Amino acid sequence: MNLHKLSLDTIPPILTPFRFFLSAPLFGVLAALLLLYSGDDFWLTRWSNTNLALTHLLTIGFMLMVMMGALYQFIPVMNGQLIPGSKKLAAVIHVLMILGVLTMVSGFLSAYSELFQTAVAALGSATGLFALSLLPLLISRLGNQLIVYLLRVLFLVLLITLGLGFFLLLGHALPELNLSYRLYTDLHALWGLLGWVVLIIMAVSSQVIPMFYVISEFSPRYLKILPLVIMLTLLVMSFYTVISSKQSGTDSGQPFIYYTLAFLLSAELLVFVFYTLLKIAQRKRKIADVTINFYRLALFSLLAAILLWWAAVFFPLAHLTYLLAILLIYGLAISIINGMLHKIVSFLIFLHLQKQSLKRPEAMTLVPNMKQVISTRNSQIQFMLHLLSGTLLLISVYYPALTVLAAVIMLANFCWLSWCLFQAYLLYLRSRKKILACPEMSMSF
Amino acid sequence: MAAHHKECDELFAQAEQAVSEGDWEGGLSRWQVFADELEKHFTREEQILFPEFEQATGMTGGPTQMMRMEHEQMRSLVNEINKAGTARDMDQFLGLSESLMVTMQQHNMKEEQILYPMTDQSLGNAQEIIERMNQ
Repeated sequence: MNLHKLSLDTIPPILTPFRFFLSAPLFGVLAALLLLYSGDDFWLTRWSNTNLALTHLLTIGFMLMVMMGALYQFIPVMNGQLIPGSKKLAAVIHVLMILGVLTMVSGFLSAYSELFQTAVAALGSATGLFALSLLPLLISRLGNQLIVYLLRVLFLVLLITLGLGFFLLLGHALPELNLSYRLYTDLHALWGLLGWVVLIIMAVSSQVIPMFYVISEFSPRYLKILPLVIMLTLLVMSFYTVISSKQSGTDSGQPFIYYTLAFLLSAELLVFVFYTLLKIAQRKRKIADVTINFYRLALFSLLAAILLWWAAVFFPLAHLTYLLAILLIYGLAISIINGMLHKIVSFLIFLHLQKQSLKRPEAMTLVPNMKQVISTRNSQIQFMLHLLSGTLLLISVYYPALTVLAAVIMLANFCWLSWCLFQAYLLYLRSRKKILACPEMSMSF
Repeated sequence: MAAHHKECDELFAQAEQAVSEGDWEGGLSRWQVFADELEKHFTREEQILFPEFEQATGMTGGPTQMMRMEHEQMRSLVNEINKAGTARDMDQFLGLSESLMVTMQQHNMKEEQILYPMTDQSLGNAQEIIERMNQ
């Protein structure tokens, strides 16, 4: 470890994570508007372009966008060094991400292959540049830190997910490639939702839950073994699916082998669900907290997805894929992100303002506390909107007449999130102005 | 030192819980114990650990300076929380305590992930220092 390179004063400029956090909910708003526009036609087939557009507004526009912002913020706290390019390059990556998502979604909606070519270029350079920025950390000797190990596994899983995604995008951009579109789409979704989403929640929870709620550390053995085992199971499943489809011409291959692998994967996911629920139940800081509600909702959504999937093996269930997608994307991933954004954004604003007031003793009282940045009531409203819209989405799969209502509440959910985050940022700008107007003192130590 | 961080967290959680249930008396008495422990922890680091670290590494303006600044930040939050306690202002108390909690955790993480390992690496007399700090 090079001692002189380390500084504990390393937080990126507030706009670095915030540009990602503030723009992400807007893609959720677009997704809700698209659902509203599509109405009950949305549930006709999962292969429709509207379906694909909406899914990627949420997964790339919202989820991946927030993850990037969060990593810019989180990694320096862990290892004392900013991600290289935290200032200018982050801004470039952000613009490329927006351009990439918008062109990709317009590509789905209009079927112009030129749009997909732009999407491949923009998303490819955004994620490529981001991956390059993370590389020094991933290959550094800090690797004996558990979190760096987790990030490495996560990085591989995301690489495979995005790799499959780009492969499919290329298929759209160059239709003459004629690839096994449905097979690779299923694999892409499998890696994204059960690999990337689950592993990032595992990595983030192992750091954040003990930190916010006073819980003993997560078991290092659990954190070392489970992510790796999940990744390996996904790898074996993917190879098996591809190879058997080449041999038999069908997607599923031998049902027995396929179900054994799927059973293994779901058992691993159950370990994750119950271990995390147990940790939450053991927290010493029992004070009512909305983020905990979001966490529980997320874990129960994954549990419901696993149970439904198993039930469907014995009692075939119509529209199962829709239910699973809603439970995993909206129930698991977006619940956690919603809960975390409310907490992290309040904290970051508090942190930056407090830092500025440090040299200005008169300004100390001008720093809003975390619950003044985003009030508990506003977070509770967010939770209710999220829970209600998620439930309505699930119901509208079977009662399409409810789709419009579900879309309206979903719109309210993402608008509310945008509003909470924007008003927090405006409060930051106002408070900062007042704080900087106070006279600066010389430091006494 | 890392173990002392955990003890402080638990005391803090109990104080916050009591206040949130309207039990000001029980909450504030636990809060006082916590605040005293926290101050003791800061003082030990500032008077013993940091100077030793600075001497061993020759780094006076870097990590320890930052840690000292963060101690000051947390002291000012403790002060504000004391005021909210006296005024029996629950919203203010809980809003500030949440902010202190997260500040403390972020600070602990930096100390545990970066400063303590660096200290273990650079200080030959670590055991003796720990004994002095426990006195």
